Amino acid sequence: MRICPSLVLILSLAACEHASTATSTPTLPVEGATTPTPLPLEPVPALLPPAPTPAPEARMIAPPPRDVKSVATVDCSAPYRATRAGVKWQEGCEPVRVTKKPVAAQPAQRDAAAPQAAKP
Amino acid sequence: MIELATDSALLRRFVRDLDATSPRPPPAPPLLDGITDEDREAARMVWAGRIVDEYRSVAVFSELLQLLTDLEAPFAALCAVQRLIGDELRHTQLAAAVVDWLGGSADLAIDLRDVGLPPRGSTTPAAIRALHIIQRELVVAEEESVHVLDAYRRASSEPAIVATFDVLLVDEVRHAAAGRALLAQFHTGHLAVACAEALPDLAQLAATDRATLRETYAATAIGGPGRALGASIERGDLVYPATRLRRSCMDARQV
Repeated sequence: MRICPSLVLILSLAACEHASTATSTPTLPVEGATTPTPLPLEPVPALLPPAPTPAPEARMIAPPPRDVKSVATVDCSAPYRATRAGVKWQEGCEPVRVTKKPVAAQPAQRDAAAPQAAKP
Repeated sequence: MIELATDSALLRRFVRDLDATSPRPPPAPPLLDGITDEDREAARMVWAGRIVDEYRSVAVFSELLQLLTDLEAPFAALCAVQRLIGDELRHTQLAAAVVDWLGGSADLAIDLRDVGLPPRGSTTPAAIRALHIIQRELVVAEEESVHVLDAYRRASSEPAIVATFDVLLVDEVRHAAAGRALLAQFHTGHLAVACAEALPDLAQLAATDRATLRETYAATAIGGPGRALGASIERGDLVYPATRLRRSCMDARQV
């Protein structure tokens, strides 16, 4: 049986997280306290069953082996970097949502830019 | 742009409650000594973009919660999704804090309106829409983002930025795991019946989405300013053995 590497990774990370949170209580500063007070956070429960083999449905959706090098070569001249890409739900381009506001001209700049009135 | 400050003491308590769910305390602001204006400005724009990314997840997972409540999904599933929404709100706040460190957003227009998914339409049943959101936005997108966020984390050298990535990374790993668990809910009982026609296509959908995401990430890993501040990676940063990724994620959890 073939076990997907990505699924193994997620399973191991989830198990690791469970172990990590079960052995230590996170501490966060509390107003008025001089030392961090342990918060009564419950250990994060295991989010996936610790089954030794993936469920049939998990096998069905198993992704291809992770190999970033196999990604097709693309034009790297794109002017913007996408630090977080999204899956495509519809055709077309996403609107640009972060822009610089137009700089309002300062009074001095406005005066300089304004056409000089003809002197009598 | 979302307003983070509030003059309501009562509402501030909810913000503190949300902050308390963070896997780590919020990082202290960086000193930015030796950072050039070019690096700082590039990073400011990238982190402003991350505000949008995180806020979009708030909208998407909110739709998922609405769908799951309509579908009478198991209580634990609803609890998981409401936590995801909170996490993404917290990430929005984190990204906005980094933008403030790097110069603020007063001169930026950040449009967060209608940032969620396109409308479902009358022909897509609620169960299939929920299934697709889980498959595409949680199982695939969050899994892929773990790899990419780790690449940015390893490329960063400013401690406050690295600590910020630590928080994001720890949460994203859990989100991806939650996606797998939520997906399993759709393979049994009334949810499986409601979306039976869509289940056979999931594998192909996942493969296509992964290919698209990886292509996008690879195409945009072009270097440039802001590397120390989590704004720039190169192609080579994306090639990373899974065993070392696991080690890196474990490091992110260490306080």
